[in-house]
Amino acid sequence: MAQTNSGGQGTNGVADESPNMIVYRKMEEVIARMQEEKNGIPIRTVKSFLTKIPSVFSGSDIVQWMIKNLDIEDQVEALHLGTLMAAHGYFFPISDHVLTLKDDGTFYRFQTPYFWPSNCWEPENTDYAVYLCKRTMQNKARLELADYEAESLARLQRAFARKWEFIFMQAEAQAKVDKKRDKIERKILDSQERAFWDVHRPVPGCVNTTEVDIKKSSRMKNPHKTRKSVYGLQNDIRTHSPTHTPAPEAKQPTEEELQEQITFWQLQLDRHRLKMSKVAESLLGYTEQYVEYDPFLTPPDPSNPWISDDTTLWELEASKEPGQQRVKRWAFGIDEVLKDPVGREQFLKFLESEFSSENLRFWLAVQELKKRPIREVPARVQEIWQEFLAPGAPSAINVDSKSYAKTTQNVKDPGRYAFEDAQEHIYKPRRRRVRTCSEGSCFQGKPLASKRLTSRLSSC
Amino acid sequence: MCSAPCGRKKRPRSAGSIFPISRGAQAAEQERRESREEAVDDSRMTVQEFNTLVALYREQVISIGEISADCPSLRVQMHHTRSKGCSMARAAHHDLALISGSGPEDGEIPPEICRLFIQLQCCLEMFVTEMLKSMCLLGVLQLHRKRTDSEPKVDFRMDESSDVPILEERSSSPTDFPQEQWLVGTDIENIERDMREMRNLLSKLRDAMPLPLKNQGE
Repeated sequence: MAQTNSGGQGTNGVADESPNMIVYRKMEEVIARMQEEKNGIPIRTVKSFLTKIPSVFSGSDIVQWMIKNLDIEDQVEALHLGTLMAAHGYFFPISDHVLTLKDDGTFYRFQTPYFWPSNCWEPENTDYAVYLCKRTMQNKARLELADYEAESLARLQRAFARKWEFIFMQAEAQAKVDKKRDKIERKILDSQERAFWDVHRPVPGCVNTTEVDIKKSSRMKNPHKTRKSVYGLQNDIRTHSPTHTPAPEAKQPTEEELQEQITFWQLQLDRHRLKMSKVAESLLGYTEQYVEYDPFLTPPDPSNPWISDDTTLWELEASKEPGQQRVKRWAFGIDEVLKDPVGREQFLKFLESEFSSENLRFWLAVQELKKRPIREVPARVQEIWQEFLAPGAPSAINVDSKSYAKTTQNVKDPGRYAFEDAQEHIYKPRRRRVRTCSEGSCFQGKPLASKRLTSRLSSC
Repeated sequence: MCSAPCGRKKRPRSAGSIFPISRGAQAAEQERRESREEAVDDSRMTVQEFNTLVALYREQVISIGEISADCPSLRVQMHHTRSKGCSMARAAHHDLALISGSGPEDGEIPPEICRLFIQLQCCLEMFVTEMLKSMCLLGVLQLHRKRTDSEPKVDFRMDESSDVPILEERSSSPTDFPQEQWLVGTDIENIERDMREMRNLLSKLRDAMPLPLKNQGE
């Protein structure tokens, strides 16, 4: 009935290492210690009115044991850990469906290993149906179904119409076997079974550690044959729960929807794809380039202030004098320069010294002109001419006579490349000068850096 | 073939042969129907008994690992229940196969038989699952034993008068542990074997199932 997934132990005893199993094993180790005869939690039978409550211990017993035996210092942490373990069903309050730990006289009981989450695969709705059916057969007031249980039973009855005979039969058989048991044992087992279902089909509104509920379980078995009866009714109680999201109505997709899906997937297929080798290459290149800048991988010089509490590094960074390594980084690309505030400052200074602002603005304007639509070009050419080159221009730039003459001609019949000569004139000598200048400036020893910068600028 | 354990009488299949051959076809048809009804009744009973055994087995599996339960005797009980269950399952499958095989001439399969098929299938599925769980639990128990009992409970007391250390008397001496583990291991193998057999049976049942049921999935 239950789905046999890869959880639990194989017959060779090798434990499954899925994350859930690891957590379960940790909890089970604590439980094993709790259940030790000598140093564990004292389990006793409590006499109450005319009955005996077997095999219980109190919430405060648990908390005290935890504080004494685990590395726990305060009550809050013990309660938290205990509540987590209870939510997974390793122990449970005997008279409450809500699985939390309280530091008081509330009675708790251990869960039998059969019902541990590590040993019991996710139970299916068939098992739940058998259980609920069995409950209705055992006529005891305390075993009466709660509202949400009765609803689930009705729903399951509709869903499992064909199987219902078997479910009923099995429930009967289980009830009969149950009756043969010793009365005390029966009490214990009943409570354990109920606690198990409190974990896997929790009371609406409770934390659901298993993340499966009656609807999801129905879906898992028949992914495409979702029965209307199970989804037709939106269970109001369930939608009030903060942890449950109402399942979407399952319906057949229409032709348009299918067409849309087809087009979508075809588009996805046509998407530009990169070769993995290229991607890997670029990732490797990036990592190699930046490895010395990552403080996790390369300890910073002189020391990492977060570790050594020595703030020399930060003081150095804050000063206006950038170190060699930092400058080297600027050579990676214009973004690096602009990211670093000191870099920005230096760059601006550099630009100002080499490209006085009119030159830079002219250069940028011409670049922009080249991208304009052709109908706007004549007007823009005129504007640029007026601003930068005409006699008495507000931001006059300095070009040689030859370029100037050429440009004057071009302006009469304006095209995108009217200012090409002038632009080159401004640009080229600057480049040479930049290189020589860089030797004396903070770009010392890294002429490549400035070259890259200027080439970047030209591509703007 | 099922024998003593289920205690039901084996009815001869060839019920028609005890009547004189001169009997009319109508009467023969009557006999066939009656015998088929009896066969169906028998099948129903077998399936029910199998169902009860599965419930019993489940109960026993739950007791594994409980502190109070005594493991060796419990495992013996489980073995017993399991064997009975397997033979029940085989018998039920055999009977159902016969009934559906010697199907009614008009080709219509009575709903009774369909229901029996479903019941048997569900019972078998549950049986297999419970066996799987029992294997799992026994395996865990074995591991626990290995871990907690790794330190031999041996008390070395040096008697002043002798140089030989005296082992303290215990109800289960250290030599029992490896044997116990071996027994559990054997049990697990047995369960695995039974499980395989039941799984085969289940697939055979699915094949033998009347067509309308098969198409309904599940």
